[in-house]
Amino acid sequence: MHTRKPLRISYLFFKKKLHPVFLLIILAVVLIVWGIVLNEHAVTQRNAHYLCLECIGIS
Amino acid sequence: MQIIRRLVQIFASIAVNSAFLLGQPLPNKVYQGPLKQICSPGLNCYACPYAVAACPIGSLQNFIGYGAYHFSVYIGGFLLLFGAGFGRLICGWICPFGLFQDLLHKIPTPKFKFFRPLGYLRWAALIGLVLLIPYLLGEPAYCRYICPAGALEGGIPFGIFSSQVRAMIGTMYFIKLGILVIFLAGSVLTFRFFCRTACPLGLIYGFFNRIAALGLSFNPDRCTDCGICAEVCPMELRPEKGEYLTGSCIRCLKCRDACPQGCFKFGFAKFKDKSQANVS
Repeated sequence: MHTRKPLRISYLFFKKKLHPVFLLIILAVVLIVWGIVLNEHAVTQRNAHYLCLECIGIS
Repeated sequence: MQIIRRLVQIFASIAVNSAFLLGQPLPNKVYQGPLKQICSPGLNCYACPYAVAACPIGSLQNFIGYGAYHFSVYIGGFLLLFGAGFGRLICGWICPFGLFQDLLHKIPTPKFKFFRPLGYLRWAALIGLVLLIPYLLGEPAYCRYICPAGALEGGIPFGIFSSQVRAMIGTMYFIKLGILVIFLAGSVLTFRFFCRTACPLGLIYGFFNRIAALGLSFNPDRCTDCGICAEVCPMELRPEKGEYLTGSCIRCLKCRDACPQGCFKFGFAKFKDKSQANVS
């Protein structure tokens, strides 16, 4: 009986089966790039440039 | 392997606090370089005058408290990247505060086993202080009330070297120093006391321990149940019973070094096969 081989998306791009964790890593990179598009990297930098008074116990 | 681990810990701790190499001789102001838009993998306060990267927990609280969406895909992406890539290997090999606790535990005093139910406090820290209170009240509650890394890396240097900060010191400063002393004393008596009771970052990375790209695998066919791995485990786990897959394992690899049968293998996910990964 003819059975069709299931299609894996990772085959399309990498020509081999990927461990699922690498798909998570790709998702993480997508999230980071999305954050950069939303300018969240600049907000992170601005937050980190000010002295966090709560962190050092002054509030 | 333990010597390599210690060297990596020292190198990583200096690397994320290397502003003194980048033109900031005195620890009396916050370093303001471009690397601060990147999160450090371990718990490293960005109020440390020499910190060159942002703290993921502090940044996450800021976004939850003050951000337009009360979340950050950017910080979430970093946490997912570090977690999926390394799991709690970061705690064992990279985290500066982890290194500090490791060194404190070497002080020769009577040592005590960890009272495991205290581990649930980490959930309270993550859900209550990192997520809920910043969302509801708009303040970074974990940084303000708990984080000893901020008191150690930021509070003490600024208290000594900055006259402006010294003039603002009040009761809360000394409460935070007291919390720091409690965690440091706990770490002398019990291995990684802070990590096991109050670190939300370790809890997040622990979710990924089972699937992290770089991790530990175990071959049960070789195991003779000698129990040496459990004896050497500083986190008081039973690695041969599958506890190396739980969120409590910090991947110090002492079990791997001690196992006479070579049951444990450290490497990338592709090297794991199904028969080894299904042990629980």
